[in-house]
Amino acid sequence: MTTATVFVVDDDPSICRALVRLLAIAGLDAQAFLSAAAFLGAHDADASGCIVLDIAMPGLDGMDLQQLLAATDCPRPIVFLTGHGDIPSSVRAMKGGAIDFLTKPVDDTALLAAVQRALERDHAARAAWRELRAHKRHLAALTPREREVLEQVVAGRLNKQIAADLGTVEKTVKVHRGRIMQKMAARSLADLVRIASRLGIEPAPAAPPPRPADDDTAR
Amino acid sequence: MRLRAVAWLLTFALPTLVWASGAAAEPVRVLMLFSNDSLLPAGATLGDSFRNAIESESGGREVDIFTEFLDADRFPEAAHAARMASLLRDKYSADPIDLVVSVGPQALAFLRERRTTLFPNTPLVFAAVSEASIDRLRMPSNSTGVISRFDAAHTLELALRLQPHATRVTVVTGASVFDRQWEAVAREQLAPYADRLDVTYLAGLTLPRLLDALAGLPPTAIALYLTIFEDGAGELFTPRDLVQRLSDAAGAPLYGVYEPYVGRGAVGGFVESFEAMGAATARLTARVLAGESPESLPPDSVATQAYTVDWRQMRRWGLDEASLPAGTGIRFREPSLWALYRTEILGVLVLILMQSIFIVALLVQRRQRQLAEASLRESEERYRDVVDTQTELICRYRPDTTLTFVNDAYCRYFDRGRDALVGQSFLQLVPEADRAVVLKEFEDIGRRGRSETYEYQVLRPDGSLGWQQWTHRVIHDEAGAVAEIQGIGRDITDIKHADLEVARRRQEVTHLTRVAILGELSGALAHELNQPLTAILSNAQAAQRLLARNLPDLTMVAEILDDIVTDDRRAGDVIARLRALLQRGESRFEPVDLNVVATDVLALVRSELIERRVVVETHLAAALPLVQGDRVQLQQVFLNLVLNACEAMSDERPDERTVTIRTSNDGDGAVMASIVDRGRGFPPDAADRLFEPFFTTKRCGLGLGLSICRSIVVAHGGRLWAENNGDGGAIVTLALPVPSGDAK
Repeated sequence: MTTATVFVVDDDPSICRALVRLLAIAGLDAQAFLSAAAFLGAHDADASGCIVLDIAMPGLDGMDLQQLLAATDCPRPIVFLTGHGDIPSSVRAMKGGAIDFLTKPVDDTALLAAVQRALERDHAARAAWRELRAHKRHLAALTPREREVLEQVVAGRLNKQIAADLGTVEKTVKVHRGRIMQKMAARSLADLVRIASRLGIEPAPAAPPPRPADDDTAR
Repeated sequence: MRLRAVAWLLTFALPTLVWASGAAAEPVRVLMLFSNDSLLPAGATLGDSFRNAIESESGGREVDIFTEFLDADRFPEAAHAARMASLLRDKYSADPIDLVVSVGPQALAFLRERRTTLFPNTPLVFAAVSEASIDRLRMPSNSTGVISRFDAAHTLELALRLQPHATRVTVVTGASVFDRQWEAVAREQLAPYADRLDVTYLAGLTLPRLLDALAGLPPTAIALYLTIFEDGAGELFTPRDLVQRLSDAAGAPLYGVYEPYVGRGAVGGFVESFEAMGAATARLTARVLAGESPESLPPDSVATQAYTVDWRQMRRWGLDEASLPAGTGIRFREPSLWALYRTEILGVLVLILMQSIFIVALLVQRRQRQLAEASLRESEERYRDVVDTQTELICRYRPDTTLTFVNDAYCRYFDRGRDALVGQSFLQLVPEADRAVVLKEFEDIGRRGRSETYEYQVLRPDGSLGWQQWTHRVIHDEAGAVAEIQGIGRDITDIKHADLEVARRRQEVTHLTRVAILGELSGALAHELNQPLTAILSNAQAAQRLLARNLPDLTMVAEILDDIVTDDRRAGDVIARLRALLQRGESRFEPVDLNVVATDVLALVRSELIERRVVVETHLAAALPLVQGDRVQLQQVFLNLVLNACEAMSDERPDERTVTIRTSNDGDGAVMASIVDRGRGFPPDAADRLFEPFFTTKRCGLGLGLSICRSIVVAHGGRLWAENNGDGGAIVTLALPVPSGDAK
């Protein structure tokens, strides 16, 4: 695992310098950018770390950057710094997923605590994100049939029922089930359900729609 | 042909030449033979006249005149005549006479009798011979002459004209042959009057008896005197000399037939002038000498007679001039006192007239002067009245500031009597501090001589200071030097205070608007201060952590402290700028660089610009000339304009919010600064109204900002105006003059 970096984005050079210095003394790796554009230009989404972000900046301001980052899959945690501190801004920032909203001049303890939380969140989020990415990869490897079966399985259906719904034999279903478990790297049904939920897969509807010829199974 | 011409020429030329040469060579010799003696005045007159006329009548030819006198009256005997003839013959035998002139009947008879022996071939011109004589004597051969006509009738006519009511005529003659001849003629001539008048003849009386007779005549009678060469007693007289005696003795007006009588007592008559006779004789003589044959010339009896009167006698007898026949010669018109002393009288009259005119003129002038004086007094009264009832102060003073006159209002204002003021210098009424300035101003007035208006402070009687405004006018004396200066003044203390108050209020408003702007910026300003404070806090806390370690990195601490100091100073700058803008003080003009003003203002509003998402572009001219101005007020202007620009763009999309600030040198003595925005602009008809007080297009605004800006710019001698730019926004331009001598 790479060392997490704290990205400081503020248009005031002396603030940048002071904050970087403080973070460094606190044992953190910090980098300063004088504008959101500069940060984006050098941004590596895979790098772990968080952002200490000034809101009021010329060009792209802090809120704009938050929105931009939120559009990517792995939004980096942000600690907002502001000279203004009005309530609407803070509410908006928090709703957007900010870790914290601090007012300048910022107290070092408060800043470092927020940064710590942000890094942990980043770490956690990164792990989860990696996991999700793996799940997605696995899902992509499923065949369409397997996908269908998955939906039924996570709905809690018995194999017999699934076979009847899909017009196949139980045995086939069992085979599918095994393959799914394997591909999805699920340890248990509960795990599978969780993964499916993570991926946003909807369980199949509870009862299949009534068919006219119920015992006409051989199709 | 030509030969004939020459012949003719010679024919004419030769005799002319001969004649001319003859004439040029020899004078003509004329002998004048007088009947009487040389002293007879009549003869002398005739002779003189003849002599004067003859040369001119002869065309300038020289005439030698010889005179001889028969004296026939005194020597009538034949022996004398013979002796005279012999004398003449001998005397003039050597050089022959060319022409003989006889004067008087005796001379004519004398010559005629001896025609063949005495001057036989010489032409003869006779004169002073009566018609009767000619008839009797018959003209000699080769003769012609001037005939005297006795004309008693005309003389009587004259008398009758003057005395229409006369009934008696007394004719006075003598006893000599000539006298008797005259008498005969007269009787004949006067015969026609016999029926009308009683005509008597006093002929041949002795002189005393004659005088008696004449004395007895009544004034209404007419006395007519012909000639008396010899009276009844045989005494010989010159007729002319008797006239006076006769006239003096006569009781009636005496008329005479000869011209010499007129002037010696005769009233007048139809007389023959011996002078005219002489001239006529000369004319005739000249013609004969010129070659005309005497026979071809009829005797001349051209008018040598004319009515002539003696004015003095007319007056003596009270005879009316108006009754005279036309053309009567009036002689001896006694120069009246008027005529005699005409020049003197005229002179005196003129003098009197001039004096009178002068006196009248003086009187008129005096009257005018009196009127003028009265009117002057009146107008002076009115003037004084105006001056005294004036509420304005009027004074006059000499160039040395001594007062010579003050009006009532002046005295009242300073609460002093006129005596206390006149004669003193008015400087005592001016506060000491101002006296030097006031004195200098008055020197200027004296020099320039124009009317000037000044304002200065005065000491009021209650000890307070008042303001007065004075208009001064120089009064020159005749030499053109400054005699006095007249001033009209008014108290403007209240106005001045009001003016000062207005100025103070304006300053206050300017200050307040400035404060208001800064108030609007308070958030931004707080932010500006916050930035360095943030850095300082973080730095300080970093340093604390460093120092908490076992082995603190003191180098880093030193760096941290450096940064802290820098940031602190940065904060201090902001505070200082803010404080400068917030100060209230009076305008202070100093050299200002508009570029610096622009950048200072932008630094101040940086946070605001970020907040509003406004991007500022600057195009600041290099080497911009300095303008003379108040830094704070110019910052206020820029601040206002930039904030206005931001406000105008508040409805635009964030990426459309650009403000461009441009400074330039227009090269013509002015510095220009323009603020361009891309906002909503303004309606074209509002272009000037923008700068009116309380005019605003903002939703909430006082509308004072631009009006204050304009008054600041105007106070700097510049201009501020706004127009829409082509892109939909506005451009506000500011022009300030560059002090001359400063332009780079």
